[in-house]
Amino acid sequence: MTSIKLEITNLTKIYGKKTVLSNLSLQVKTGEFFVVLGPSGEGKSTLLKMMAGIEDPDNGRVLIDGKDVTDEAPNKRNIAMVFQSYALYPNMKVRGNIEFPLKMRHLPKDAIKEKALNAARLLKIDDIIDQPITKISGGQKQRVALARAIVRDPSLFLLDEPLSNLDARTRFSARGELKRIQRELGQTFVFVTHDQKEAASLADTVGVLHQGAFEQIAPFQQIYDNPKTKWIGDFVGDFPMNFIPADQYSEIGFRPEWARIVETGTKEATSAKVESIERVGDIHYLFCRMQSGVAVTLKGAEAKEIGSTISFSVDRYNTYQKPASKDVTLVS
Amino acid sequence: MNGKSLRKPAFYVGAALLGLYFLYPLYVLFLLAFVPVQYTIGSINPPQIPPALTLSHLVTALSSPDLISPLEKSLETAFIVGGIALLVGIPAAYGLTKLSRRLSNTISTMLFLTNMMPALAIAIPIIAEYISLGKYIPGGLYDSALGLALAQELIALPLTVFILVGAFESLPRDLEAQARVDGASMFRTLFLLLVPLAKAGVAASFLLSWLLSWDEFTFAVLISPIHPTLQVVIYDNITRGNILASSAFALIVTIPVIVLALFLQRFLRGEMLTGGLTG
Repeated sequence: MTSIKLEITNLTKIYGKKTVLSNLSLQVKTGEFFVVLGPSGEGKSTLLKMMAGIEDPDNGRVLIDGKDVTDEAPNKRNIAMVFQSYALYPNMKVRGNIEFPLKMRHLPKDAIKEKALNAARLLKIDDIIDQPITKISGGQKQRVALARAIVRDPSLFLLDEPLSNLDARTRFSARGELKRIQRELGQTFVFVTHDQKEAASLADTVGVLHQGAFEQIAPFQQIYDNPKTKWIGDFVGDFPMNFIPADQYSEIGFRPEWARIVETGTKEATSAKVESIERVGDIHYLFCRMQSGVAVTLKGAEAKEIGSTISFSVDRYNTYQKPASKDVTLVS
Repeated sequence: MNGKSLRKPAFYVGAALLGLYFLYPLYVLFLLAFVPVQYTIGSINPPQIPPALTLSHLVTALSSPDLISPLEKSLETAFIVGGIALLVGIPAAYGLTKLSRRLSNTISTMLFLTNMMPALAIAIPIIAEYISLGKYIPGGLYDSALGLALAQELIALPLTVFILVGAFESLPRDLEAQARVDGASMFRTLFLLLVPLAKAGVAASFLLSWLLSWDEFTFAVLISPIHPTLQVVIYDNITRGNILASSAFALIVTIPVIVLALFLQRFLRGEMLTGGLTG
């Protein structure tokens, strides 16, 4: 039986008049890689800071290992955190940065040295351990921040967009390495990002944050295949999910690759006019508009002429209900 | 000639004029202290370039028993003021950064209220309290360096806190949060991380409060009249018409200021002092 590492209940945070998070609840299992996915300004970092104890919630509880830590100071929570800015101590060298959390726990000197060196080795930065922070590259800084987080045995890792300041190539390899480290340590990670590629490659479970609460919590593939709301269908995926009204109360939603371009005149096919084309590798994405005015994105092997009319049939789709006031939701 | 090529010479001319404005009084002081009396106050049109130099005024001043003990008193007081300003100012400023900006600004402004009161008006009640409290404190408070320093802190501490709040607020918030997450208590976060990072602001506040004390006169003459500070001794000498010894004393007052400024200048950069004024 897996145990619950982190539990959050009814968390609410208000800044002035703006409610950033409202009644948010969450459970993260021990050893899980949990990714909080959401656009900028949705309170992802605030949520992480409240897990860490850097910010106080206006309401709700935070439990780590079953213990209520809502009123505990950050230094009493035994968590490790990596900030987007890395927050390396500029007045210390690489070694000083990695050793800092151990020194705060009054470990014996030899143990501190050994643990710091091991962490540096795991992240392949043992060769720059005596360099000042100001002299190392962005990728190295990110590694130092990670080494400082893993050097002790925290009960929980919190990572706030740690890869977003890296260039595309470094980011790709850092992603793989992060996953490797998490597996090797067998530790629980909570990772905040706005980048769905990171969510797709890193997460065991993804929580999509929208308007101050989780709109869907599931493995990434499930979110991609069965987005719970129209908003998620729009937000997740390289191209937004297509939504076509079925009747007064429901719409059907389908991914571009769930539809097929067929010969004109085929039975049960829908026609649409090609408005623009985007080529990604061998694949052509056709941005079309149906006669009713609804825009659809389709995927095709060959380019079509802009302005031409094509026909497509949908092989697979989800049905979404359309209540009077709320966002359209998935009918499972 | 275009405007750009004129800009540089204009800058140097401006800098030279400004330098002259600040340095000329010091130069006159130097003339008075080191030039034989017949070329300075004994002359109707004193020459600007000294025809001869003498050390006799300085020797007279230094050999005067008037000097050593006031110098010690001034130094002692100034270092106590600088020390207390940091000891009290650092935790106070850190605390203020934890409050909302509105509340913190209100409190900082209120700290300056004591500066708006005439020193004379505050000094008399202080003296009265010092005399009655003195018996509980070894060395007493009235006429002591500690007593004088505590009074001067009324002027120095608000400034120190103001500078330090600016210095702490200019540091990235994430750093402090990171230290707390890494297991540091608030106290250790402050002294292991924030103070070293804000060393420019810390140095500036120490220097400023040291100088305020070194230059302070009203509290000094009222609270420490029996064993006076150097400032008061110079005043006494001038009122007695002893201008030459005063000039030599005045130079001696200036020397520690220059030494301290040179020592601390590597910590002092414009942007560190503006931290409290922006935003």
